[in-house]
Amino acid sequence: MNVILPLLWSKFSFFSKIVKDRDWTLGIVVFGFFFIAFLVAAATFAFLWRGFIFLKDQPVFGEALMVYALEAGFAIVFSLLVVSSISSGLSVLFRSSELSFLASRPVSFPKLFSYGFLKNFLISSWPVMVLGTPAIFALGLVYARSFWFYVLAFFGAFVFSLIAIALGTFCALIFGALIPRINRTYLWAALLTPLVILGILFAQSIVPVHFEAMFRADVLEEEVVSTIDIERNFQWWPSHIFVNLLRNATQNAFASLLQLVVSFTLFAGFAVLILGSVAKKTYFALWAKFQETSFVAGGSLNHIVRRPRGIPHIIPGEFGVMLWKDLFSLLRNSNTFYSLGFLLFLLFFYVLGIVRVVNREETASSQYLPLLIALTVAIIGYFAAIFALRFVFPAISREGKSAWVLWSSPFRLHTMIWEKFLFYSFLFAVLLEALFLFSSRFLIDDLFITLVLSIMVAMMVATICACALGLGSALPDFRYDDAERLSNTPGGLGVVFLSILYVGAISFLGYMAAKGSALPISLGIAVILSGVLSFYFLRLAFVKIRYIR
Amino acid sequence: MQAAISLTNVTKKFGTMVAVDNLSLEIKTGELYGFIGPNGSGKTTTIKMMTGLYRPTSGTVMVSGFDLAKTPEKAKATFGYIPDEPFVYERMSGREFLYLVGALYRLSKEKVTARLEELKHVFPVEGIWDEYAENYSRGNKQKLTILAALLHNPKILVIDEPIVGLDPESTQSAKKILQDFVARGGTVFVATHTLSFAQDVCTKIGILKNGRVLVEGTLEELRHKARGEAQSLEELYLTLTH
Repeated sequence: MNVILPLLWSKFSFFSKIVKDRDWTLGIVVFGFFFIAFLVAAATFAFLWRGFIFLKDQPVFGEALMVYALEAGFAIVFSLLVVSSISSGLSVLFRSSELSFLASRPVSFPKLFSYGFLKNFLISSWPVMVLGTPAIFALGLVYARSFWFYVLAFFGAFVFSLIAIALGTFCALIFGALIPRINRTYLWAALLTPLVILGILFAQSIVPVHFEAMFRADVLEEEVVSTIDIERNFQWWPSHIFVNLLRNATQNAFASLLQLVVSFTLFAGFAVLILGSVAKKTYFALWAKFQETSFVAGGSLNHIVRRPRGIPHIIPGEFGVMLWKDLFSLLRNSNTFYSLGFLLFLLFFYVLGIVRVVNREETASSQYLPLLIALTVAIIGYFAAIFALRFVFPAISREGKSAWVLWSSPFRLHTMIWEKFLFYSFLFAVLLEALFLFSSRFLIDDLFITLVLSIMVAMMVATICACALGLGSALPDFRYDDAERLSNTPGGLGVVFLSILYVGAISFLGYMAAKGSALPISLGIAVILSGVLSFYFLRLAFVKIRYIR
Repeated sequence: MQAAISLTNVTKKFGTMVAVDNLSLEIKTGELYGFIGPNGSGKTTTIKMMTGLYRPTSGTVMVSGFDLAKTPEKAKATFGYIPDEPFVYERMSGREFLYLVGALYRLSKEKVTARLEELKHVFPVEGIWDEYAENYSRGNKQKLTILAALLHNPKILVIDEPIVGLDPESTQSAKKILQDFVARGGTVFVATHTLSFAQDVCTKIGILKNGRVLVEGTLEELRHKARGEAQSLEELYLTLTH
């Protein structure tokens, strides 16, 4: 620990940097992130607190719905913990340049792994902080629990996170072993298969097939709805034990509570022990192999690019050259795959949710339909903003230290802006339009309204891309190998805030259009708003990229 | 004769710090101009303004008669640039990188292939052409950037630290490349800390300090300015900069 703690402590040096060096830019970024996290946590708390009060007073469905909310909520938290710890685990345990530095010092690899695991734990435990903590507080307040409830609940949350992150880190070790050894096709399968399985299991638990049967009053034989079916649905999720622990704590069931705490702690200890033993025996070998190879290692190091080739001239001219370069740079960058995998995983949940929840007669005929449609547009806008933040905002900075190649050549830099704008807009528009059209099948009967809304979605995606590209060109940073870290800068926050405002406006216009009353006006306003914003941000990009700054 | 590169009253400020201070330079066609100076004297900043990477705070940069601020594409088409740090696209093979550079200079695929055949003798890098550049040593990346700079048959070479990371054989090759390039009517502007290299190949030398040219001329002229107290360029440099 004499090595691990100072290393971990050094990660918080930015606080002293803000205070001592008066680095206000960094201060704003840090504050912005904590503020956003606080807002999300506060909103979650408010929602759950109101919900739990309502459910507590419901004599028939109350307990069942409460159990369902807790089970589903903590299953989501568990999934986020696992996926997040796989993603950051790969980065922390294998790709970190800090590790290359530390590995050449007299620090043992088991210690380095412990350091990596703790770092991964700190990074990946955000779902518990942002979603789990508000749930515990809401539950405690609604049931008026004492101080010891919170001690127990937070201890349980810690153990729960430990189990999930140990599992995620274990998966990261497996991926770390697979990446250098198998080719891209198999790797895709290796990455996507567990995600798909986890997604299907998750969707089946969240939206069970016999969902209606569980909650329909006409099949009730007793006065209170049984929670057995719900518990059965979630029994294989480790979060189920934690939810049981919380429920027992709210009901003062001390005997079973003690048993749960002991078994849960032993389970976590066992998981960490297994992980530690595996890592002790394998980590150095896995890390060393990972360093020796690049992302796509189809064979030996000397044959990474299998066929000697130049540039395929599919699209002629400078535009085609840039398109080719960007396409290959993205496809050959492992970080792209990790991020894209994570985003696709979230999208997958969304699609499954749409399929399983929205496809109901009562929803289709609901008066809330325009609101649901607007919400769908907003969710798609949210995904567009996340994609833009992750891929489009750093697109200029991604040229990195190789930027001299483009900037010192007679290449027209305007072409680069057009290429990046059209490439990302097209890519994301196709993906998100498909998602929208898929969702709209269950929501909208009118073909004309579907057409109008799909135009709005396409414009929204293009405008968000223009916004991200404009701000990315105005605030580039070519110093880093991983330009994606720029998402955590004031510019990145700017993209998020502007996108949220704009998506809010388009969702409102979508709501008006879905109601059918002000369809041409809504479309007109959306066209003008999107046009003006796109023009402004693209112009900003053209002006700002002329020189490297 | 028209100057190959001309800088007129060029200043570059980063915030309040003046990196290059009212610098005027004229590099004539056929010259091999060595630009030397201590760390932080403004050499790399000057080169980055010459190659269109930095915008001068004030002043004009002309390359091959084209104003770099007004007609950047025309100016850039005439020179090849070798940066101080040989950063190339890591996830491209050397061959792909060279074809990309060729395309940026609007060379057809056939022309690039033919030109690469011509350049094959310069550095024997064929063995690693189809590996990703991220696997290259610094020296091999440097060789790749030199080949990229020569690919479009430029009139001018602008080089920042040409031989750092090169092995002795490649250093000799680099010297020969530059001398042959000038012999064929080309112009070279080279910033370096390797004074022996500058002494061996440069026809004219400028010494930069605090963003200003202290002195410039041929080696003989510099010796004369140092009043015969120094003989080698290293001795001259130490005498003139202290």
